[in-house]
Amino acid sequence: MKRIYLDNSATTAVDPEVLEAMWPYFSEEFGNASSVHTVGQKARAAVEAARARVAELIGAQPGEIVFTSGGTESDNLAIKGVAEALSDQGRHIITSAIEHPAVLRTCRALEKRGFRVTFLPVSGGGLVEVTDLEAALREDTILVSIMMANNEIGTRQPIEEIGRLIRDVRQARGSPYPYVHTDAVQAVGKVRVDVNELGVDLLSLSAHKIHGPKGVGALYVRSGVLLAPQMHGGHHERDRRAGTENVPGIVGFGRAAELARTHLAERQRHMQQLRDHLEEGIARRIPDVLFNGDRERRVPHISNCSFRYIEGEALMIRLDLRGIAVSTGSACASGSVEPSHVLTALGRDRELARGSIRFSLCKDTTASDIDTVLDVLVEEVAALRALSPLAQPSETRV
Amino acid sequence: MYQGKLAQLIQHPSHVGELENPSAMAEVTNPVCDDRLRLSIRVEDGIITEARFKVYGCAPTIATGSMAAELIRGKSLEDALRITREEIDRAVGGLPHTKIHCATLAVDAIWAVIDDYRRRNPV
Repeated sequence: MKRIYLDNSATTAVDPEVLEAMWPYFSEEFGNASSVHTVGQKARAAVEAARARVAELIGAQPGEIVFTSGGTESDNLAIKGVAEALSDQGRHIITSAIEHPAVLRTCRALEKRGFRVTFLPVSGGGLVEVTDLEAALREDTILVSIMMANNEIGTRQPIEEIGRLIRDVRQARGSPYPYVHTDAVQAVGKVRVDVNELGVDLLSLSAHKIHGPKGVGALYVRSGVLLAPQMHGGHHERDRRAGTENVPGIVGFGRAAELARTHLAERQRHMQQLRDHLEEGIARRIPDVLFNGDRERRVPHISNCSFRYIEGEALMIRLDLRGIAVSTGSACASGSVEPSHVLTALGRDRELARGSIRFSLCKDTTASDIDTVLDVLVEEVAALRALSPLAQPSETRV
Repeated sequence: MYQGKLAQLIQHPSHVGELENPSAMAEVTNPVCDDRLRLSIRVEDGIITEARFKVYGCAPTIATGSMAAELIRGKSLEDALRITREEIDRAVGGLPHTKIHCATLAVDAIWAVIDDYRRRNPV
């Protein structure tokens, strides 16, 4: 069975060119980048070349890039690192209700340590209102952390406006705080990301979402930003993140970043065209569907919709049995279903939240993949609706 | 993810739908995850001659619903009441341990539809 993978927001396939760049660093170039001898210095050179490429992808300076184990660690380092470094300046953090768990749960953990967190609501389209953010700002706000693009519905938050607002607030106060952090894991490599245009102080990114390897990510830390390390040990990453560098992973990340930057415009156009083709086909061929999230302000590779009367996990599994990988906002384990916190924050009722499916595309998705998915989807939605006690009973009476 | 008989039942369940003028009908809901299973039966001379099901819920519930309808067909009400969730679990080819509740829901539906029959036909 040919498999079609439309779960690229979960992870992407490692690009063959990335893998090729990584190979030598598993074997002949095995050095520790902190070693002074020649073997170590070859590894150091490779890590620094990768750092420059990752920096270039987001318009940063190489010295502002801290390599981590991935997006989750980057979010933890940014939020806990700022909270710890600035705790004598203030103990209030602002974030949104639809952040990735790496941000939400980090903020929840800080609440237990005496920090106060405001979780901003979002509109029906999944967007944070800058006026809500302005109203939530307090004298003791030290950090604003709002994701650049949502991982479930793909909506893009107004980070530039948030950056401008915070810059004005800081100027008025004569203070370098609050800092602005954004989790850009779903935006990098999909749309243009430039830390100076955005006006952010910290930005999280991950390699495996841009056809790089798993287990490596980075945190952009603007020069001059105070950050307390959360991993203690040797003097790696200029004392911001201890631990021997994952050299093959970092090299792969660097190559993936370079490819993402070089091909950004064409990949963006490609994914958006196919995503629109998918959505147009769904809207035309399947009744009782609701698309989730703002249709304009979003990244090009994610589509999320709710199919009435049916359950997302059942649809996901039936699609999987026909070779199509997607994901759902509802995952039932041990008899409990947590409806997606994102769709709940959008105001979707329980049934619609449970009936949601996320399709996420990548540069390698083809038009023929989308046509196949549409044909199979039409059949599977109809089959599950025929089974559903929530659908019109007249259609399925025997 | 799902293979063999379980996958087969998820993709191609039997006894799907709702009987016209059934002898009894019941819908049960899993109190935790909201999965719903509706079962309708035709009873003649104390024997379940036909059964149909509908389901809203996670994929294995499609299999357990289909199997519940299959297993009660041809049985007396008393025999149908003796079907256990372990029996359904075995019959669908073995559920993942996090999905055992899908078999529980199927047994609940059997009990509920027989309750409904007996309410409609007091002895």
